[in-house]
Amino acid sequence: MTEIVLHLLIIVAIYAILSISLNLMTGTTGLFNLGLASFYGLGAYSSALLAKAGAPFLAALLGGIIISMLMALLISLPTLQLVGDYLAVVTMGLGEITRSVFKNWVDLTGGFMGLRNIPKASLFGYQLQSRMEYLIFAVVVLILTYFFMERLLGSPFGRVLRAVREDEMAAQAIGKNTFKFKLWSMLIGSGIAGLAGALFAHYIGVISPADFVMWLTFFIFLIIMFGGLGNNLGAIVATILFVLGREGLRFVGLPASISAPLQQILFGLLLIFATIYLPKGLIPERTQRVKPVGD
Amino acid sequence: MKGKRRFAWMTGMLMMGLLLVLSTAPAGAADPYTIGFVNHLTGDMGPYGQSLKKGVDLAVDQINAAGGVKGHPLKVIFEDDRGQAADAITAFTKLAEVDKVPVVLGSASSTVTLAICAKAQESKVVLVSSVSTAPSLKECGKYFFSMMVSDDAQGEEWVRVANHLKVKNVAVMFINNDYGNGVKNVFVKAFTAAGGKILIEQPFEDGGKDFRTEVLKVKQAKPEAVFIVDHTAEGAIVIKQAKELQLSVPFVTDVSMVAKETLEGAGAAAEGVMGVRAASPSGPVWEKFKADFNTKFKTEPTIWADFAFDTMMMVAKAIELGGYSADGIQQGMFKAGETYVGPSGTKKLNPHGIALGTFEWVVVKNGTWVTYQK
Amino acid sequence: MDVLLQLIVNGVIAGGNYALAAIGYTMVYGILKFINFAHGSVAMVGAYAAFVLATSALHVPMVPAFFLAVLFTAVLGVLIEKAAYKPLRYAPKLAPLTTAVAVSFVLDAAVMILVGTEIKTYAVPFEVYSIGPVFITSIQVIVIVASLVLMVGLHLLLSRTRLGKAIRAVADDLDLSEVAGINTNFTISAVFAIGSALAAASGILIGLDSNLQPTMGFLITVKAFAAVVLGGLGNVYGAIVGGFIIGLVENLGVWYIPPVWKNSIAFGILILGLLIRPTGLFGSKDNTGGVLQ
Repeated sequence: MTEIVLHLLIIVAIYAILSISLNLMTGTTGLFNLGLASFYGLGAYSSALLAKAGAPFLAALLGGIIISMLMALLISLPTLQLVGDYLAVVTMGLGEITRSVFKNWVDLTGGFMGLRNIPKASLFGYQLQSRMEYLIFAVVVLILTYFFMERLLGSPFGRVLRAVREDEMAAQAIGKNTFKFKLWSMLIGSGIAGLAGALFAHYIGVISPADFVMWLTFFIFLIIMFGGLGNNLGAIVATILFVLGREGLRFVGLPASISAPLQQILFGLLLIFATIYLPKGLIPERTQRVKPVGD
Repeated sequence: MKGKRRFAWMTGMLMMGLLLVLSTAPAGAADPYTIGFVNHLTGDMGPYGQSLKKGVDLAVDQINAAGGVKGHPLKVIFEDDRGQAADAITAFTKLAEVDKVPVVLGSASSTVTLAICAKAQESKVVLVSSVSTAPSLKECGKYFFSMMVSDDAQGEEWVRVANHLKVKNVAVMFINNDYGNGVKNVFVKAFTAAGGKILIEQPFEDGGKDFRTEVLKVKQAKPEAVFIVDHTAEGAIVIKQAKELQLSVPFVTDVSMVAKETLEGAGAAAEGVMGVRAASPSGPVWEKFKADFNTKFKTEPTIWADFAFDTMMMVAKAIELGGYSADGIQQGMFKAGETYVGPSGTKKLNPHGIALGTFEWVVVKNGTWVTYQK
Repeated sequence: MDVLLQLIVNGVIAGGNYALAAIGYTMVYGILKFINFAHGSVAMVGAYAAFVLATSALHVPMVPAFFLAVLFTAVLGVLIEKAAYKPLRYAPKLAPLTTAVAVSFVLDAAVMILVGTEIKTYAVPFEVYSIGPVFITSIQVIVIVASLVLMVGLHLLLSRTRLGKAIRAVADDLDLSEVAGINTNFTISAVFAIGSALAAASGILIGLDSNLQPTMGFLITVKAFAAVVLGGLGNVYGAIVGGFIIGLVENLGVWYIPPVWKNSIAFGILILGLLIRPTGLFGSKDNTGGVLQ
């Protein structure tokens, strides 16, 4: 019993970090990034490959973050001028293409079978052997990410990001270079997604293209919608609910032939209900009342 | 006020989530022997898991109707892995820890099986895969077994078919995954070594519905026969579209495609398609399975259902011989394999716990797979 | 040369299917400005409705089964709109997007439970015709003819009827149309009915040409999405052109590069197209869409 709880909590921690990442890009800045799974995957593959090549764990983790950020830079430069819905399709396309690369660049990525024997995490020479140790590590990373993001969003930078989401034109009118702000939002968000991916790779030990499908992006999307766009505490709470709720259905003991699709239906209906009746999510974004004049 | 209500909502939901997790009805060490099953039951790969489940269901029916194993009925707990490593580990850990099963029937996907295999060794639970064939699984450990014949054996059997058909210049079409590439590579190597010529190696993607350009490429190469490996969905469309584009040469399929789905998916175009099937040289075992399957599910056997059936039967036999414990089953599997003959053939195991298998050639005649008369 | 002709024919067949699916998608965008991710799943339901009618005890012949299934799906589309999108008409764009994803989960899973997860086929026999060096099946002829007829019909509806006028007006400005006395709720329902009907048609035609799977909706959504964006969001004719372009380029493309990159090709041209012309081929500059522009 304990192992499964620890396992689920580790998954919760990793997905929560991923939710915070998407919450920055989509929740706060309003950029529809449907390629989240590919940034997550890039982080996972890069960090796994670096570690397999002998890099220390923390360096590999950092490598995963940097590679994800580089990819974000590469696609953001030409596409950030596009209007929101177009960005969605470009990032979704990117997701498909990255997955094709994971699948077909066999020499590097191991192709369809993916990578295995990914080194376990170790900090300053101490190897994290048990699930409990890894959970503590993952939660610490989650907390650090959370406070980093809270600081960021509380700063003037965060206010501009929200302004971009609400009315980009107006933000430009008051002299903000919105492109630069959107770019930073994408870079930081993708870097955090890469971090989550790296954490996943070193935990699970085996990764393959099947782990980075579009479905995951949607799942995280739903989590931040449900938790309240732009609110990271809500995102974390929603991650807990969704992951535990989804896996919890395993224990209800439905007839096997229909239990899996039935889970999917319940999940879908709950979501429709929540979107309509809880429009701001569980915890609405905290918006500071700003006086019309000043700031 | 509003904030409070929301908070109440939130805690309510949280409690519900926790309750769901904690309200685990203990499986109970009562009478039945429980066995775990992890496979994709939803998602793109869902049909394969569902098909395997049918084979297991049929075997369990027959075992329980005959009085169970040592007087204990069998009960299988089915878990969904959604084709993803993380979910598979959740499912496997639940089976091992909460349901405390000594044996789990593993996933159709080699990647998923690989992910849970290490876990199986760690928690000392026997993992028996019905169809995973990846070579890397060999090194996984002593608690792993596979009931599928290896890629090597299949590739070499194809060479024998090619020799029989007296074809020297052939094309290979394969699903672009570990399985397709595995069988293709063995065949290409063995066939070239035997003096044959591979004109084109044409991969195709899973999930697609339009393979006309791929077929045209093969047609352009003018092969004397096409060898195709897939798990039915795409391969059936390839065969149909080859017919449409008048690529009229013999098609030879792998073990997986010898299933109902190929017949349905390709329709009339399947007529005359040859295949190799893992089977015992004696026919009646398969015919009986086919009839039983038809009675229970009202269709011809679906993909890999025969392998899943044999997996369950082998495990039941292993429990009978070694006892209801991981180590007992681990020992029992080898003993059971010595004599077992099922619809997917003999199950004599090599030291890695992988079935050696023997083959039979089949051909589609009047919309059904029948033994090929040499 | 012979091969090229055959490739073009194959591309047109694929393109016709993408275009049909893309029309409903783009119309919904034109009116409500949100990406209807459930569209492919609606197409899938249409395909299964025809399957159930044709193969169950009812044994409805294929042609009436086609029309009944299209009708059924149209009604379903309207109901989905009322239940899942209408309450969110003035909510942020992410809200209807989320419910659309949820609707597709529900539809996929419902079909899995009701019909099963295995792959199904209509098992309609076909004949192969050869026109010079090009081979084409009777089913493909039906696919092409049906998609052309439906597109022309849609054009007439939009340009010649009162309803068409209303649809265009609502697409242009929802609030203003309401003020002008147009029954916007009815018009939006009509758009969902038409869009879902066309989606069902495309789902059935894809099923006739290949096979049926409960998860087939996702790929339809993705390809239609690409076609719609390439053509310019909200533009019906753009979506049709976009559908054909993607069908053609995919089929011609995999002749030269390994087919494992097939799905990447669709997105490759899409990304390239957007970089050259950020609003799509026929999109309006302000990205407000508009069904007829």
